[in-house]
Amino acid sequence: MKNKTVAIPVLPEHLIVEQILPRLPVKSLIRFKSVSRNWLSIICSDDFQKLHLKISSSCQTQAIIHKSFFAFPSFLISFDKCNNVKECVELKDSYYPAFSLSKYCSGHPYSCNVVGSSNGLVCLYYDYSCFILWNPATNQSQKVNVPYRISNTFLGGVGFGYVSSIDDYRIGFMLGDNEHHNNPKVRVYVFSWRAQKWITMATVDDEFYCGGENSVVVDDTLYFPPVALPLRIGALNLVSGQVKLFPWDVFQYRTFQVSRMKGCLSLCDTSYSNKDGYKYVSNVWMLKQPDKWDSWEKLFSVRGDMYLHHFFETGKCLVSREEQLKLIDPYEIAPEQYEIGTTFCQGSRKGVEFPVIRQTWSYVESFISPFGAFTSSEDEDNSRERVESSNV
Amino acid sequence: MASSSSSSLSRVVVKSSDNNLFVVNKKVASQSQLLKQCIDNMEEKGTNDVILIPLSNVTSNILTLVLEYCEKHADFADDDNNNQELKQWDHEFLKKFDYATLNSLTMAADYMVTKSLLNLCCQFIADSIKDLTVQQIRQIFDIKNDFTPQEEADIKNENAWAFR
Repeated sequence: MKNKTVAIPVLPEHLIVEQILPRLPVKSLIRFKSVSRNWLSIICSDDFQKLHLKISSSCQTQAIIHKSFFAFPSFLISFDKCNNVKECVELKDSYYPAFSLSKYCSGHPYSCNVVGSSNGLVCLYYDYSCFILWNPATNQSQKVNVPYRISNTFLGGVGFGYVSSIDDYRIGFMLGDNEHHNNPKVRVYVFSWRAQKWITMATVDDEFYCGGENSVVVDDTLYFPPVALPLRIGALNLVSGQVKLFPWDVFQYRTFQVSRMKGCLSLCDTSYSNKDGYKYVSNVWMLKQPDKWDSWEKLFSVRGDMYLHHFFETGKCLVSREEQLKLIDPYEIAPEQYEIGTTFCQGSRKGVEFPVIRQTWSYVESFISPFGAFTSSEDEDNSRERVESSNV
Repeated sequence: MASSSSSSLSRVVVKSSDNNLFVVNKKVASQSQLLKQCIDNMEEKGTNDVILIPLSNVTSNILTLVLEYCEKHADFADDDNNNQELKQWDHEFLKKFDYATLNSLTMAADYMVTKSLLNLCCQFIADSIKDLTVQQIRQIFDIKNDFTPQEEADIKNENAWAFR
């Protein structure tokens, strides 16, 4: 871009504030706070930060990839307009150098997992000791200690997400108790970001295991993919603390992941196949009506030599072939149209190889603080009351 | 595209601020909500004259570009399968322009209510300024630094990591 001083038409303020600034990365905006008093107050305002989140969720697809068991904490990848990988950065080293896990825990980084990502807040779980709420874009993080510790426990399920009905971010945490073999118990805990404390504690008299990691929040509820026979989808209501299990008997002997697509709970089952030259078959299902468990509908299948790693709210899917990643949009181009055996174009970014991908999470940059909502002290008291009263 | 209007004319005439006339296919013009609104209003009145729409804010060289964009997008409007090709075209389209043209085009897209072009221009500008320094931003947007040196240093120190 040229900076000549010939009469360049200057953009009107409403275009700069409402259209251009909200499309910038958070890191650039933090730097541009020092442009002028006006820019400082715009960038710090609540309205602007909400607009920024709205625009960046609608026009960008980004994902956090947990590469393997032996690497932490993952890569952030973004895609260009043609759905090829645009950028791939290691979160830890190059992008947010000030973040360090050892600040929080002396444990081994292998035992640290991403357990949820919502509106720019990433939730990490350090085996049986703490959670870390982390906003990589603003470089803020906060430690949340686990509410309960006994030696003989197993993880019943863990997850994190935004609950829109109460405008809160919540961690759901279920601990199974191995000590009473005759009377197994699962303890259920819910952490409220708004109240900044653990607010629900309940016990469920059933021995169940909801899978360790990939869970998703849809409406008020945290859903867990089926992991063990008999196949059941676990559902933890993050407002009431209630736990339910729903049977999933469509397919067995497959790997499952749950995600949210177009506001609905969606599930993907993947199996390995030798038939017709196909290597993988992934079917994506959607629960069309949240209150009707029989409204599951099959949306599309991804087959051939593409492996489906994750699907996003928009319906786009992250797939890999020959260690090359690409985003495909089954609503634009049918997955069958990607010819078997051709190499994915990697856009401007070449040589990004992912031999192992363990987990993938949708990600969007935001200004949301891990330390809770910024409110005056009066508002804060009210909101705490509201959170507690909704939790009977 | 089937036209539900009573008017039999399929073209409109658009006049730029420097008084040049452009004959535009209605389907192309409809890419701009401003032009579409004008056409709809005129047709409601049942006029059989050629519709003339004067645009007092857009020069002919910028109008040419907006119409080039509208034409391309009108071509693709009924074809869902070529989205990738269109996105590629959009990208190549904007790459050609200098900053002054890009600004004028952005303002024209805003004025003519061509939302997809406005989004495209703003994303392009955002992408090209994201790595600039604070000083360069002030130059480009013609903004005066009204901080005291101490204030500016304080803000920079608070967010030192973002300057690395």
